[in-house]
Amino acid sequence: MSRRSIKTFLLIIFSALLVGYAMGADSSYRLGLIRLKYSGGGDWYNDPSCIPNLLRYMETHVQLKTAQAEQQASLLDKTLFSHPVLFLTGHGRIFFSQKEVKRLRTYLMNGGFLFADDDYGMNRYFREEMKKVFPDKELLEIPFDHPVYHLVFNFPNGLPKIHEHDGGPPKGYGYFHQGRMVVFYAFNTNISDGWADPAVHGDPEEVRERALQMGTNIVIYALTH
Amino acid sequence: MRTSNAIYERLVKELDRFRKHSNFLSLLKVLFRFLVLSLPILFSSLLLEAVFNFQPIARLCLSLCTLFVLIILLIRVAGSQLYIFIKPNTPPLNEIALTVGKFYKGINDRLANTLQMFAKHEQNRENYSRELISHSLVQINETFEKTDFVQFLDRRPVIRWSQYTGAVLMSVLFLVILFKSVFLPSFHRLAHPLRDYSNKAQIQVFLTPGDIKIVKGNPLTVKIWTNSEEQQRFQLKFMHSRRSSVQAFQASQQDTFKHVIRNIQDSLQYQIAGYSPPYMISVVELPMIRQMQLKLVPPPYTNQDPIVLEKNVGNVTALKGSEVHISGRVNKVIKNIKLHFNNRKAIDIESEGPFFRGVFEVSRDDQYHFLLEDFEGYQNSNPIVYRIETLADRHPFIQVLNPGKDIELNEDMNIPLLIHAEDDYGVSEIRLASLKIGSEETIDSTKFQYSSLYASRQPQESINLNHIWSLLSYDMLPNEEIVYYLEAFDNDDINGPKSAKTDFYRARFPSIYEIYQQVAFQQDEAIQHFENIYDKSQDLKKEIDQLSLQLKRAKELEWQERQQVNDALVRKQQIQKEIRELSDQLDNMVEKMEDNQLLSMQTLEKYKELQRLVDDVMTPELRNVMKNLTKAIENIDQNMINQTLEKLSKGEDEFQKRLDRAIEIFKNLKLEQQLDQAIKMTQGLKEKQKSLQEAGSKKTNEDILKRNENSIKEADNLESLLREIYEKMSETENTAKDSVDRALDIFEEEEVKSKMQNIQKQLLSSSDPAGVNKQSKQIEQSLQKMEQQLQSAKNSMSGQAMKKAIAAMRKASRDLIRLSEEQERNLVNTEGMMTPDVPKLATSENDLIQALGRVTEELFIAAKQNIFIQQKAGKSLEKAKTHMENGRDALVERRQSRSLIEQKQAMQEINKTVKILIDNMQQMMMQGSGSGMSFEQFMQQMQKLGQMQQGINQQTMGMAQQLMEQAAMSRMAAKQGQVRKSLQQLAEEAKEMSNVLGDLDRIVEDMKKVEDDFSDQKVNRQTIERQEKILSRMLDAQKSIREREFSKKRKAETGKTYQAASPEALPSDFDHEDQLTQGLLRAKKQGFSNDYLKLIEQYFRSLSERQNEKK
Repeated sequence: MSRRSIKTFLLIIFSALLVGYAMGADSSYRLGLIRLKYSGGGDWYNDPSCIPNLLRYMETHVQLKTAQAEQQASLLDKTLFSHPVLFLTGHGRIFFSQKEVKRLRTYLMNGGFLFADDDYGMNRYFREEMKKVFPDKELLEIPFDHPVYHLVFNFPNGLPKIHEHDGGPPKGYGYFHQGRMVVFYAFNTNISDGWADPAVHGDPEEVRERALQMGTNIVIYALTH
Repeated sequence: MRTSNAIYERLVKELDRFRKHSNFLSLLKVLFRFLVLSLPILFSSLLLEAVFNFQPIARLCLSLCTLFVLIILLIRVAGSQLYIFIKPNTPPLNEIALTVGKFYKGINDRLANTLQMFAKHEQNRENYSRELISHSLVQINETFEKTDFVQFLDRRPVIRWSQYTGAVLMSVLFLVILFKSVFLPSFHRLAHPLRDYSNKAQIQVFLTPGDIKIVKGNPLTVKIWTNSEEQQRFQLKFMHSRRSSVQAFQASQQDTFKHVIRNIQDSLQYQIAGYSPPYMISVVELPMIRQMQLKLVPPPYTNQDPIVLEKNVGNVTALKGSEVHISGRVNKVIKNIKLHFNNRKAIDIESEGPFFRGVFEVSRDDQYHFLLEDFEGYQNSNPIVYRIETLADRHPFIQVLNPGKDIELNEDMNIPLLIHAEDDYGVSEIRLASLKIGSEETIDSTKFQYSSLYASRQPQESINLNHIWSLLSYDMLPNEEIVYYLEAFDNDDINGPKSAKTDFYRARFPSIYEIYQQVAFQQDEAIQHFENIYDKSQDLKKEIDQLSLQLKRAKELEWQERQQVNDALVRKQQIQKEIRELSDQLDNMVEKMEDNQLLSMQTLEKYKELQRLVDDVMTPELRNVMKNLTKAIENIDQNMINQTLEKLSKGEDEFQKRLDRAIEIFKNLKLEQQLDQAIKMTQGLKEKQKSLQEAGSKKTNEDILKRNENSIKEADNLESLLREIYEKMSETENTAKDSVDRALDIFEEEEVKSKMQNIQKQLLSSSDPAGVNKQSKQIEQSLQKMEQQLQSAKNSMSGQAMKKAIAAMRKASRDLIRLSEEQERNLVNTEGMMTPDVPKLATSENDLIQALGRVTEELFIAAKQNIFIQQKAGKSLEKAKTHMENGRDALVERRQSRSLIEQKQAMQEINKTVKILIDNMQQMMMQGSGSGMSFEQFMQQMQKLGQMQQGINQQTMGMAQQLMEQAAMSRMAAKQGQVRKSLQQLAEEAKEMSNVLGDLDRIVEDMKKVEDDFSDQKVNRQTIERQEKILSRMLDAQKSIREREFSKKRKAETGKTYQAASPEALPSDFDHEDQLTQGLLRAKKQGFSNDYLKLIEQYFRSLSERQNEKK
């Protein structure tokens, strides 16, 4: 076993322990990836099978106790702050009200994490809305040596290309707060399409596997940073 | 006897007490008299000394005289009373007894006699009876038993003299105190007469103000007057509590000395050294504000947090209705404190000790200041006047971002409103005002109907509201308009909510025929434009060829020729620009048709393909040639210009071919689209007949008349359209024309239009409702038949086009396979060729080239008729031709190996073309037959279900106004159930497509709930809202699928692998601002002043700069 593998293994064990501890060592707690509901008509509910599949994958491959079903929340939900990771996808307009903007900012600046996945067509709207959330920050392209690409599974060339909506390489962007990446935005790849049931998009198994691995990296990053 | 003795002793004792009191009063009287007489004497002496300031001897004399006079006076006044001190028992008891007896009637000297007798009864020289003496004593005793002799004393003289004394004493004291600077030294001198006051005694000094109270910080002017001409210098001595100081000063004017003591802070004494006693300056502190703080509490409706102003800032800028909480401390305990305003009544402020606290409300622009008063009555001086400025609560602002202009309604009758409203303190309500008007009706603003789109108890400052406004309930007829505007209200509960309105916008409902005419006009224009471009391109090509020939002959490139080449390029660029504009125009046109659902999915798909064709008219090669020509002109490179012009000429050939194909396809598509249009109009008319039959009892006669009149016009339009289609089809010998002809026959033979006119007449006369219904049903059936014929025409047209295309491709494939075999044979012959074989082989290759040209031409003609023959086949054939030509030329030049390579490549290209054509055919065949549910069918089903749901919703709305009967409820439940089941079935049949709907299941769930509401007879607002939601989701779903399916760019394919370089490392300062901001925030929380905050900011900046440097 290489030194890197040992490090990775130890990191996963540590992450699992940390997450368990952070959740109040409640043995009944199961990690959920929360789908963020938003207004604007950009189809937030897209691909209902993707989240359960990723959670199952994580339970099998990184030994995290995960929820089996998809959970959803809007930014004004009371329970928002009890969820460590939010997932946003769609392919159209997104709109956050002023209250939602404030809430999301507070959430992200206090330990929350948002993974946004462009399912083609949401790029412009997502960027506009996030500018409202972080008017003082810039969306930065994440270099390939960032931990999010290596934490559990190794992606030496950055994000894997899952769907060919547009030509060209995929790109990962992030917002940072106090050195911590608080938003990860996957553009021009549609990672979460690769989590969906095989029949939905007809992706080959190896492509789906890469998408699930990248999804795992993102969630583990969110939980451990 | 013993008793008599006791009485005697008591009387003697009483008389003795009387004597003592009497003597005391006498002494008092003497004393007062002495004082009354001596005080003026003493004052006179002081006055004399003060005035004359005698020499010591004279002063001694005066002192002694005064003393002597006083002694004499004392002896004179008090001499007669001095015996009291020498003989305390004077006057004798007998005299006292006589005095007392005088006060008592009938006693006179009896008291004295009795006492005298009793005192001598032991001797009893007269031998009075002892009993008589005793009896006399007892009698006297009885008389005086309860009498206090002291009461007989006369006190009035003493009182009178005491009054005189008081008056004199007060007068003297008053004068002395008033002129104490004069009399006190005078007294001092008289008391010490022999002292030498020679130097100073002559100088008289008067000083003002003497003892005084003064306000702290104020100056005090001390003035001195003197009678001395020599003494021109005095020393003013100040005595503070801990130190003393001396200030010398000189006269400023004759005999007048003035000294100003500035800024007196503490009490002190002062005197003119050697000339005056010390005087006191008591410093009084005026009341003043030591510290104050204002807290502005905005009105509750603003939801703003209170603002605490910095200490001692009193100027107020606040929203009207804000409360100003004022608190602070004054320098001393005060009696009262008030706030005095310029424009309103002063208000009292509560104070406790030195602290105060109060509240006032900001109601207008004003000024205020504090009025303080202490317990000694002192008030604050020069109070600071503070400003009150009221901030206005602005009117709200509202804007319709989308559509934000007058629009024409689409088929879905929805207006997606995107509204932006904002207000400085919150928008409390947004409402939509709407009014339906006829085409030439004027707006009556009193008839607007209002509906609230947004209302909140917790208003937001900025709102972006999305609202899909369905106008279905307005039941609009073509050419009617909805005039609407939006109004926003703010939450100002102080002055009352203010509102803002948008402009009036109009949403017109055009007839489908009108839209069709618009689109048709645009299409004709576009086709005309394409043809113009084609002509321009032909002219340009001629010119380029001519120019190319001219340049080949020319030895050098002249300026004029260069200019001609440049002009040709500019014209080509202009053509390129026009093509781009036309492409955009085509985009808009397709979008409009799509929005109004004028096209079937199949036709729409063809239009999208046409758009791609138009975009591809300018090939990348042609664009490159244009770029190269630009460079060649810039470099004045004649060779390059020659070469590029040749390429441009070839490119122009290809451009013309592609353009020609696009024009032909466009024309054909127009016909298909017209057919779609006719089908749609027929369906529309059919639906109108249905609603006419259903509307009988619900709508007014006037309304039905209007609708029927509209149907007649539509029927007219449909007839014209069908005739137009038929004529065009006849021109092209289209087999579908028979079906169109049959549809026209049905229209005429079954008298659709006449029946409609009959209905109109019957409606006008209101004679035969049953007849109206019957005729309407007949019309509906006729229209149904027409629709079937038109649908069949459509299918026939598509099928015919597809058959032709497949046949052409099949033939081309066969020919190409044969050509490929021929080419292979030539290749083998070329490998083993001998020199004499060359001409034969070259001729054979040339024949192949010509044959390939024929195939290409045939395929091109077919491609002009069918859009689905892929352009890339033509490209591949072009390449094959080029390789063949090169191979032939190489043969002629005896370059065997080159010829072999070229021939091989030509063969490969031919084979590739065959593959393309076969794939293309398969694809077309699959589209034609299609297993399972096609996309179009799915969409039609969805559309149908949507319409059914819309019908149910409308009926529910209508019935909600009245009490629904149980039967009606059950019927509605059944209808809703039917739609639900159909939707479920549809989802089942088209599993793949239902995936993209996302929440189709939820629609079904909602439908079930609505169904339950009907069954339970509980139709309420919630049911109606749920129905609206269902319809909206169904429409969304259709739109979503449509957009997904026909998005030009979105490719739902598995991703390829791209090799990309890593982005640059994150900038070192990417989180820098954060640190700075956080640091500053922390510092602010800790309450550092602004100056410190600046320092802290500098610190953080320099720290981060240093970190950057290290990195």
